[in-house]
Amino acid sequence: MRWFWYASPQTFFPLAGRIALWCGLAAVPLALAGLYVGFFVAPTDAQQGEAYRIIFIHVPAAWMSMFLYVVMAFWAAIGLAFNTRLSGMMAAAIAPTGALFTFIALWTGSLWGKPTWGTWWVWDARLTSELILLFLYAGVMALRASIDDRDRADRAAAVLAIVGVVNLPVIHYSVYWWNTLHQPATLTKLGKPSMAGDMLWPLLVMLLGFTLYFGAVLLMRLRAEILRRERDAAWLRAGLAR
Amino acid sequence: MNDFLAMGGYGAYVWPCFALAAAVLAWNALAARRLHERAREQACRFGAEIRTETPVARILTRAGRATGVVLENGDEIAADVVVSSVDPRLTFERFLEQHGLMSR
Repeated sequence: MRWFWYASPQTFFPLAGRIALWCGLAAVPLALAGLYVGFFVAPTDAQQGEAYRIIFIHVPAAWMSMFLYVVMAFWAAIGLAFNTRLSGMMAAAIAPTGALFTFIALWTGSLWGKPTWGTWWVWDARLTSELILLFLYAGVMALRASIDDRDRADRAAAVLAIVGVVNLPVIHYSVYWWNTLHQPATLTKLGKPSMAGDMLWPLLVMLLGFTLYFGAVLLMRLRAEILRRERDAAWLRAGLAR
Repeated sequence: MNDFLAMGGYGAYVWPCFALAAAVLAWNALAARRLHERAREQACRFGAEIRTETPVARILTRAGRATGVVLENGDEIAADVVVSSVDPRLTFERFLEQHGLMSR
């Protein structure tokens, strides 16, 4: 296996286009199926009534917000360690989608908090650490945008992204470490899930749909980034001329 | 249908969640697409290629106007404008000589 083969923009560019298309085509029906089951098959919750259905957006979005940060930090670290051209572009392409998922998680959490906790927002450990995650995404994007030299921007953003990883265990364990208003994890207990099966599986379908959506958007942004950075490269000019 | 929209009295909380998520995700996908298209356009329009160690053999002309160059390896590059950075004597005598533009 040639590990660095696809680390070159030239070999990855056409592949990314094909994968993006398939991810996008798969994500839409999955999300629709998840929504259908979430609204029409999953039963009403005994305590929260219909309000709990927010979970089908909230939990996948919250999970994505953390997962994307891990992926971004991973590519940032690879870029720092091996100086591969694609890694910085990958990290840059992930950040906006990660920030948007974080925003969706916070927004839906707030709208869920009002009917169930009686408040839109509290400075609870889980909520606050998730808000910090949004600021971290914004910080990484702003730092990258503020440095003109692409290699230096990549390195600076990578260091910030890697340092920010320390926030992820804080988000995850906040519900155990502190006495939070937020409930403990639902998804990490797949062996012994704390949800009924009818409620759990639309959640997982939505998660898969979001993941594929992320794949499609990431690869589209990545191709744009490759086009911007490598537009003078002979391989790209030859490809565009065709 | 009305029961469904009411969401057991929680419609005001449930629907904004789904509406905003759908709007944000759709916007993000469109933004990525637009970014890709714009980058592609710009790459087509503004891209430049710098060739070193690539001597030019002569400048092509048609009806008294430069239309491109021929490289020493035989490749022809068409262009609307040809800018020469060698001195006028070399430009006209060596690269344009055959076209008789120097006889003035």
